[in-house]
Amino acid sequence: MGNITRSSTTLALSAALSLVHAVLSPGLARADDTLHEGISVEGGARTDQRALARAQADVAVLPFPGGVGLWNGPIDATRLEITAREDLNPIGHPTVEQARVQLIRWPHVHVLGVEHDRRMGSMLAAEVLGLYVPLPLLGEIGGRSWLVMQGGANIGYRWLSTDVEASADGHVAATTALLSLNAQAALSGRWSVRGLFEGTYTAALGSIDDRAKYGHVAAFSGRISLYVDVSRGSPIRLVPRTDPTTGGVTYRRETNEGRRLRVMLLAVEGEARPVNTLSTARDIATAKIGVEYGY
Amino acid sequence: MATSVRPFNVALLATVLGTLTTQSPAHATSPSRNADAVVENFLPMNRTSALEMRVAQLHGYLAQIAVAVPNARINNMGNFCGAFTFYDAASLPRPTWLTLTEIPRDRSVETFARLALECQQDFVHENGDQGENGAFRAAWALDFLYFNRLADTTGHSVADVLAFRDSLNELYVATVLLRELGRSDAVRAGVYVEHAPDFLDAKGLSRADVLRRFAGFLSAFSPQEQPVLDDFIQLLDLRQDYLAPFGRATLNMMDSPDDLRVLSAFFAYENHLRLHPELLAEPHGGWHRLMKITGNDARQAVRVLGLLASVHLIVFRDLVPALAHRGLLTPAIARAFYEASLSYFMVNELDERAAKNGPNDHSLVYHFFFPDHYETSNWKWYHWYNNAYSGCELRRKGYPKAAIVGAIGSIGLLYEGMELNMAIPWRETMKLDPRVNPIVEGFDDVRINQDGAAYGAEICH
Repeated sequence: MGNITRSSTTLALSAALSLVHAVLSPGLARADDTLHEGISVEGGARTDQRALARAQADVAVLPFPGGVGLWNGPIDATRLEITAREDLNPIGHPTVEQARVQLIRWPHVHVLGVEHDRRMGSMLAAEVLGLYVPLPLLGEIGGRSWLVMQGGANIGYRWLSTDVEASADGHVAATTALLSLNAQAALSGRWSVRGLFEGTYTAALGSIDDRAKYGHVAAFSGRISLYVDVSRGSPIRLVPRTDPTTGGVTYRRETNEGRRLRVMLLAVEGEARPVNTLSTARDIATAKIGVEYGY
Repeated sequence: MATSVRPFNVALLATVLGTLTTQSPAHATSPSRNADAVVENFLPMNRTSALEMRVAQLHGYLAQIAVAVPNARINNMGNFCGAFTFYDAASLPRPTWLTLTEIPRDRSVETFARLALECQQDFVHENGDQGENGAFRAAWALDFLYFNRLADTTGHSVADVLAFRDSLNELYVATVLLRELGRSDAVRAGVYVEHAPDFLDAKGLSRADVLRRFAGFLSAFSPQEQPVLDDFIQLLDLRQDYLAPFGRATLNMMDSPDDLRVLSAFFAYENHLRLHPELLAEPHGGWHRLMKITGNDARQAVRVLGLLASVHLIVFRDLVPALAHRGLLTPAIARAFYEASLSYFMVNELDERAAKNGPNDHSLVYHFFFPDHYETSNWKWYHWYNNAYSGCELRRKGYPKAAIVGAIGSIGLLYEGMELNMAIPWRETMKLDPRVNPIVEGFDDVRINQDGAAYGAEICH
């Protein structure tokens, strides 16, 4: 019990320090789910015998470009996230695996992000700009199920370090191309399944082990998760209308939108890197549970 | 949970227009009840006396609705009644939303009726207006609820909310035209009216070149689209500091007696539909009527509705004062602006009322004002007509249909991509899903644009 308490405290302290570190230093962002906005916490275990805890929040700190006259308020564009891990066999020390602060992280635009990411061997990285085209393959206005493909690329900088599981020390300019499929299927008003599948290719060019070199990573990841909405109030309302043919009243279903509290009962993730000359990351699978308050 | 519905007497909106005579019944010439409907002659809004009467009638209508809310005030009545343009409407959703949150949602329709009346009757106006901006702002707030799929939360059916919105817009249009018609008459009588540079003085929009380059970049893999884009941007005829599209084409329409005849006949038919909602049950009935009015000239139908779709309150607000300052706002043009501005909203209202239930549990299928082969779950009829008009004009210049549809798709994609930057924070403010819905809706809008362009290209050779 004492070990768990001490371990949790260390984990929290380490996470906070790492987040501060990430804010103060440049880094490179990694692809993730930009279609759901809000606050979430997750925890789980991985096939590399590590436990992990993750927290993410979209916060309103950025004033809308154009000033008060145009918009008169901040926008929820800024994303903060952190993932910490701890070895289970044997029990080790908590380590921040990934942390990110990004000024704008929207589905179609990423601006000025800094990141620390051991899976990419990056002590610190900066995502200067990312542009993506989201293309709905399935889904209708007002619908609760959809499939959106996103394609695009970003540019940035990385500081590679063997201290954080890079293959070699170095400083590189990098670009990451992304193609993803992001889906949501509403099983009922409260139950839903989400899927996120993406492929990325990162090309990096710069000084690696003090020599001008090229490195690259091709990564594929997938995630399927089951959510249940536990918010008070019905997630659906019935909208009456007069049928023009019969004159009778009919109803259609409309979503009561807004941030909802959802429990993620289970998420299963997998990540493979068939090409990887930048980091020592191995293929892994993860099972998680969590909670989110968001859209 | 089902929302209860409090119905309006929407027919009242048409009857107070003042039926002068009823035409003798015509013999049925087609299987369409809409095409053969005998439409009343409504009082044309081309004289100050007619406009004064209509404003009084609308006040009476609003007062009837406002009975449920005898005293309505919001924190900043001065702001609510003060200057408000389409530009404010497009760029200031946060104040609009804050106004809406001040009012109990299930009393918002009745409260807006009271507020609009107070703006016109009890407020001191310093800018030469007659308080019509309160009606415009109230109409916009209800529109805001509608296109965010919240109109039903007022406790009325969606189509009834739109009908009420239309009465507010009509009050705004009638009040402005009443004032500007008087100004135009004075100018023609020799009274000099000084005015600041306006829409008719504005130069072509230099930023259109940037638009052209962006669109050209998107078309890099399809070079045949490039000249189409150039001509499309010329057709839009955007002016420096103004949003109004198709300004010159709209003025040309106002100079065409036959286009004005179609416009007036269509406006009278829309009011007839309010009196006879049973006609809305006929699939594509509105299109059948349009074909009857135009003598089966689909090109004229998409030109008149395509241009009036742009008139609503953008071109109206820019062009009407500019014409009046020059003494050019004639009774015929005033009537045309009245009918075109209101038709934009009435098509939407009637389309919503006529829509069929969709194949799923959440969508409607809009068909009434579209040709027999076409229906859509997107309520933005004006996208289809705007682009049908554009597709037709571009086809007449000799471009192939595929290039036209591709170019309209490219520019639509660019526009919707830029719109996401506004839509995401808008919807965050309203606590609505800010990310997936704007993306899905944006692409749906691109699709309806292309559908319209394809139709326009097909009917014009």
